[in-house]
Amino acid sequence: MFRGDPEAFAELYRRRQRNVYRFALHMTGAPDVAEDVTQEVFMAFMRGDNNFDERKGTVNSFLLGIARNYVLRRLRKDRSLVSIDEVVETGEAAAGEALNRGEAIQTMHQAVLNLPEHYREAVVLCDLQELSYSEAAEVLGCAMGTIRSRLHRGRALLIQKLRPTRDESATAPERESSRCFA
Amino acid sequence: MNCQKFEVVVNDIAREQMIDAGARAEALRHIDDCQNCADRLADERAITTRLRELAESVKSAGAPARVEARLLAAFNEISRVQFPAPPVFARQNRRRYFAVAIAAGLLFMFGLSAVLWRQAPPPANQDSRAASVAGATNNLATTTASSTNVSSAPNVKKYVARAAVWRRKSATKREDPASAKPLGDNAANTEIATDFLPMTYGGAMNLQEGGQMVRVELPRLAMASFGLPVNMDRANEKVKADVLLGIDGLAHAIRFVR
Repeated sequence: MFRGDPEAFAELYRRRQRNVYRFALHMTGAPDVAEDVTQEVFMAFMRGDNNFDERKGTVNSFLLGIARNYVLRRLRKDRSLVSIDEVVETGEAAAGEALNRGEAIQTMHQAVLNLPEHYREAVVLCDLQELSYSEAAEVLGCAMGTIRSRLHRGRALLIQKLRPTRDESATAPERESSRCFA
Repeated sequence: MNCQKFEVVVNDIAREQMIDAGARAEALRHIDDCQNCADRLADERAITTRLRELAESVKSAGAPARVEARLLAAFNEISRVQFPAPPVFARQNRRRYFAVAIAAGLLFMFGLSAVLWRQAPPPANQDSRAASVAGATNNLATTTASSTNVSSAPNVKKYVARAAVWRRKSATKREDPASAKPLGDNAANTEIATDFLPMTYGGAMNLQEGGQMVRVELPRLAMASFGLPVNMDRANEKVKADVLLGIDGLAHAIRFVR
């Protein structure tokens, strides 16, 4: 693809590596894993393990698709990277504190990491990476309706996780929100 | 719009995505009448804000520079295998080819000049010897039929054989006898000669040590001394003869040529 031109490869890497790295970081929460995933993605790309076809989508979607496979493989290999209990405890503990902005971001990050993989992928791609539904569908290899559904469900789970914090800060009466997620 | 339809578009409204303007207006009118949906939209907007803050916090995040260095090193390694650099080898091969071509050209020129030098006509004093030798060779091979009475003698055969050896030895520098014909091809081909006849005083001297052939003219009557028939009416005429001289300067054999 690059016909042995290192400058062409370096240019593509510099343009796209942040998207790949951030996706891996949001999905795993571990910078070292994100670094490994980024390296593996571009190694696979330069080796031509997965032939890129521009008719099937953009380079960005293609790279994120490879990154997604590596991330899922890594998550399944090391389940201890994200512990449900740990995140729940973190969220509940944070609910009782006055949150500054940094802590709120950290709490949000933990909540995202706590999401099931399917929902996390949709939230990361659509909300954090700001991809359109169609681009996210290319990355995940599914229909746009599936993306919308997963994003809807993922965001609802985030609201559930973060509701104590919001309720405390807003001092509003607790509402039953299960109706909207049904 | 009811709450169920509102639930379909609430994400897009909260995320400020492009939706149908009519649907958006209906949804906003719906939250004026439905507190639950208004709260639902507020929750969605809040989560959108916090997600954007999270995205903003890692916006500048990227892989460390060492990843790029490792990837470029790997890329160069792969490129070296998939796209081997031909120019260096090509230049070396081209130089080798030029050197070999020049050497081959020089060898060819030397070889050609050597062949031409060998084929060049020799000096005049050597031409007569060469012609005599060539003539002797040809006659030894071709004219025995005309002198069967002479070649039947065993001592004559011995001398003839020695003469042939001497001829080969002295003519090794001229591989092509036909090219050394100072008297011309016609003369060499048309001459008829007897076999070499031993001279009585020459003994059995070994002619392989060297020698020389000299063409002389003798009175025809001299042929009678070697037992050859002579027409006495032409006894005073001259007849050509080749005399084999040894390294001692003495004549060892003679043949008569017509």
